[in-house]
Amino acid sequence: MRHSLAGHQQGLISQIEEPVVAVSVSLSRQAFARFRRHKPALVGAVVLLLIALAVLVGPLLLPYKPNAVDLSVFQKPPSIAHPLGTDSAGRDVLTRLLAGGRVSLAIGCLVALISTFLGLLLGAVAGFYRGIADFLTLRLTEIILSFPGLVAVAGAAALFGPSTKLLIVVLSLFSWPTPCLIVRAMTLSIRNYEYVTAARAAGASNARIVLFDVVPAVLSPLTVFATVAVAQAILAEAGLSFLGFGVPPPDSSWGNMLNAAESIAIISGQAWLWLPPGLLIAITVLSINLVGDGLRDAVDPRSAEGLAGLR
Amino acid sequence: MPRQLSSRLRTLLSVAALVMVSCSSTNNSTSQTPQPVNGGTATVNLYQKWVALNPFNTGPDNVVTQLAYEPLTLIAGDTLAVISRIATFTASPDATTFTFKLKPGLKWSDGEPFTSQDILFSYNAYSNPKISIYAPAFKNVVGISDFIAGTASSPSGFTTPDNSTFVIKLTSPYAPFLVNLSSPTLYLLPKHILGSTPTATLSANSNPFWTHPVGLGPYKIVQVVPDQYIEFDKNPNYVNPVHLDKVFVKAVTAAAAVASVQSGEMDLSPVAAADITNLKSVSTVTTYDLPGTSGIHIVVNLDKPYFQDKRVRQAMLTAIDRKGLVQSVLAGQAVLANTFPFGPPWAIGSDLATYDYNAAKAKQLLTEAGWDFNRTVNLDLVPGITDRTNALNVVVGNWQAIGMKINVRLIQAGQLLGARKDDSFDLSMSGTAIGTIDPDLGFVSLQCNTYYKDGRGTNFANYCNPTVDSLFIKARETSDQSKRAPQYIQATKIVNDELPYLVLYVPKTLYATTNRLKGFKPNPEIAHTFWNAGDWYVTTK
Amino acid sequence: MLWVVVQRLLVALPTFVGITLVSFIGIRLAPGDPVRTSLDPLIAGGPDGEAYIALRRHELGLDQSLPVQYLDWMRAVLKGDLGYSFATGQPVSEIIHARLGPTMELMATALAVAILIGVTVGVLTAFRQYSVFDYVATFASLVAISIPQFFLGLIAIFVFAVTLRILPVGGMSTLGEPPGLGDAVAHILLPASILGLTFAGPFVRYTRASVLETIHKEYILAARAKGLSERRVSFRHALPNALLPLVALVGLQVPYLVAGAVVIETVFQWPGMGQLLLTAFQELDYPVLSGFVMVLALFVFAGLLLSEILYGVLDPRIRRS
Repeated sequence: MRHSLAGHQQGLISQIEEPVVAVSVSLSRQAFARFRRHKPALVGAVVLLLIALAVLVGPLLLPYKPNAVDLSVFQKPPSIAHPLGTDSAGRDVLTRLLAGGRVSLAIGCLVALISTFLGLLLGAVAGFYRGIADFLTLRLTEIILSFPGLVAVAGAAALFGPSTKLLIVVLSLFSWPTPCLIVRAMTLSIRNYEYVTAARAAGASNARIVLFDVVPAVLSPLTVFATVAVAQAILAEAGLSFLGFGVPPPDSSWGNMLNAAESIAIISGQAWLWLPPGLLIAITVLSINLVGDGLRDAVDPRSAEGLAGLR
Repeated sequence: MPRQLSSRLRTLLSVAALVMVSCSSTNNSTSQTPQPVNGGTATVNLYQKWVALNPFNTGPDNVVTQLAYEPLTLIAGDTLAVISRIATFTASPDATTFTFKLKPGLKWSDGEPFTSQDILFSYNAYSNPKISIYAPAFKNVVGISDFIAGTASSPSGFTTPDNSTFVIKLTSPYAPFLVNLSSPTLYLLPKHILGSTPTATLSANSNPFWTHPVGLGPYKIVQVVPDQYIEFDKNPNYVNPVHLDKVFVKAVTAAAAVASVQSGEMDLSPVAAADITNLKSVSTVTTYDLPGTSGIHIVVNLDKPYFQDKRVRQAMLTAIDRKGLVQSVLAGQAVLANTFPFGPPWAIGSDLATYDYNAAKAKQLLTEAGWDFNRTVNLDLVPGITDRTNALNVVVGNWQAIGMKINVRLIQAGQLLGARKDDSFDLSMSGTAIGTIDPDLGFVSLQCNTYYKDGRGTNFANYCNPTVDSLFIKARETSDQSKRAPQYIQATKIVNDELPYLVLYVPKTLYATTNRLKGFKPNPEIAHTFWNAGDWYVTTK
Repeated sequence: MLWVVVQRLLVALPTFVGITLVSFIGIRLAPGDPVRTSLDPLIAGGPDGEAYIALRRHELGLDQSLPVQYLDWMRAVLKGDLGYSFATGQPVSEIIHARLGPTMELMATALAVAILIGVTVGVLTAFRQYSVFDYVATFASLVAISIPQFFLGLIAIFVFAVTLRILPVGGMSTLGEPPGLGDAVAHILLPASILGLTFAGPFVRYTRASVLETIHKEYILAARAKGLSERRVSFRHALPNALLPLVALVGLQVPYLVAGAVVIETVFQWPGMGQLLLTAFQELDYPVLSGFVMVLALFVFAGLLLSEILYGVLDPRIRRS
């Protein structure tokens, strides 16, 4: 979580300093065209689609169940029957890899969705109504941002017992401050624009203004955030499951499949147990980051690439 | 599939395996039988991080303190018998009086003479339930109730006829008393230093004595670097000559320990089954394996109506491929057991049901017993030990294969007890913690009316069979093993049928050392890893 | 400027209190009990066990209400007393002091490596936009933030420590040997490099974007139009402004300085705060956890202060206001 949080402070700071960006940002056809021109992002998107397809459909097509134990094929290297070999309970690694992919990706998407939604809600309220709501929200975000995320989530899992539900809840809890600050900054600038004043004069309620003016404006940077939040969450889950605080056995996730690699014997002798999940995490996160890059450049024409593209 | 060996032959083999010195040490490089060499440093791994080096704590503290302190009695790793290095002892035939005669000329590490007064002082402390968790070991001592009530300063059953004699008298015959006295280890404390410490401070973790102790052990603590290592120097006043100059104790993860032993940075560590196979082929490493004394079992909450038909428990055990589990997950480094307690061998009969793996039969038994296949049951585990998690995966996989719905709950060590009192407790997987030095140790887990759910005892399964109770009580009445054996054989046969505890496997205790460490004798209980640390020596500096 | 700083500090005060209050209560609300955790279940489970546990809980003050516990603790902290660990009885301040050093050493080294690589590569790629070097460096930095750290760590241990045996498996130093620079470097090399590489990724990207943005700004064009040399433009005008937000960024990384390297510390057995915290969570060692939170809050406070001051020093607009 550490490095991606840094990335978001980056976006966050520029947003706070130059809120005027909001006006020219939109998910217009122009933006989409710019995205399509960004080749690495396209590659990333395609790879992601393939992975998503594989984890959704794969376990249905394979003959094994992810938790089905068959001790006669204990820790066997890859073969025709088991393309990625079997693990320390005789379970098929490929099936577990794809089923685990469902869990890891689901965690990633859910955390991104929940934190984005929470951030949007609280950020809009804070930015729009100001006053005590703003003060409290800001203090809350500062408190949460002060905690080193991974330690806090590991601590929660240690205290309450690790589970997938807990993981999603606590990861979302530590992720919503960033989108909240983004939304708040944009809301602050938007609320003063003429079209908002006009809308108020026409009698539109605050809720309407938030819904129809604020939300479309923040949608683009939020999309970028949400995309990279998925990557953050996947990496966080991997680290936490590796430490033993993530998805509990017997179910698989990419992270807890790597937990096996804590033993030197397994690292050196049974690469099929830990290389596939590790590589898959890296490829998935890389693809997400590429897509995120493309989105960032597509929606923000002021960014370096965007500017160069206009020259 | 080969037929099983006849039960007679199997018993013979298991007796041979368990009673004889059956540790096998595979040394992968050629070496002469060296003479003990003086000097040098050894670095060893503790299986878990120490807490406060407080002998009043169970767990890793009780292990590492073995280097600085000496108990009156301990369990020898090679013979599994109760021995004493500092005294000779006798037990009366009616198992009520135990007499200890100290060896002459013994001194503490600061040079002061060691007398039976020190033993009296130490045992007064250990038998006081207000400060010591070991107090239950002394509950049969004459005069203990007056002592606990505060009307006596010491139980009248502890006497010191002279400075080198110590006698313990019990209110009723209790043959296993010496085993109780030896495990967990009760380390002797110096009266001349701690005698004036108020009792509340004495057993506290913050007592400054623990980091600079004076003891009777083979080594002295030089410095403690919190969470990193403890440095020991040799104690010239130890009862036997000590060879090593220095010992360093660290507590690292299993993975780091294995890597360190391989690279030579660490000389000794307990290891897991998954690592032993690899280590056996490393030429600079010596491996040791011997049958363990505690097993891994699943506690069944017999308070739940759906577990009360014994066919359900029998089905659950039959559904697990325990042989496959041992051969694969544990790399063959474990033996099976089918009753509770499961040792020592003289207490276990030869005609027990073996519950061999048979998924179809298990499903049939479950159906016959009227099991509701839509019911989800909870299975609790304290995570952290790879072998156990792997075993859990197999158990859950096997149970799911016969249609049971299992919800795995990972809980913290501190919540283990709480979870077993809770309404939601169905099944709990843990170590047996009772050891098999004496079969009586298992009685606390089976005794009627000591149900854990009521807070009355440690019968975690909430099991009761009055016949079993009477057999265990009868077996306490004499020190003569041949008279005790028939009671236990009968009792364990009943438990083998009723299965309040599903014993999965009894892991072998595994150690790995560098070749330079000699004199090390493995102990089947990891808690006593350092039991003969005074005899260790190294062949290179 | 002084007034701005003081204002900012006053606003941060409720945050400070909030951090300590939230964590104090949150930790104690969790199920489980610190005394039970350290006891053998079989021994502690009996009827004597309950009385013993009750006694120990009373000794540690755990039977009082939460608000009372919090106030007692705060009162002690203001006197400089962070309490004693439930697990070891040692003063918490000593424990944290012993652990903080190694973690900060590791993080500082990693950050130094990261800043060095990050800023250098970032500036170079910005000035050589669209070159092969640019694409390779950008891609490499992306890869660096995509691979799980512990994955790299395990591979590194296997290659360098177990197979090649040229670097130690873990820890900070070799036991029994007198402390030496070579030994210390050998031990810190792998963990700091891996951490540094993963930090360097975003630093490269961020520096690159920031520099690119700056060199297109008007005042740079103005400086060029004035006829200043490319080098002067870069170093005296572009770079300081480009690096300005980096200061704020580094200021925000303070929480990670204190406990951010949990995973790497576990993999390399580095005796730092991360490992201490994980153990404290498992042992429910409240004083250690609360003490850590206090230290964290102080660091965050100090980091905020520092970056506000630095920002003020570097940005003439603020200095003048």
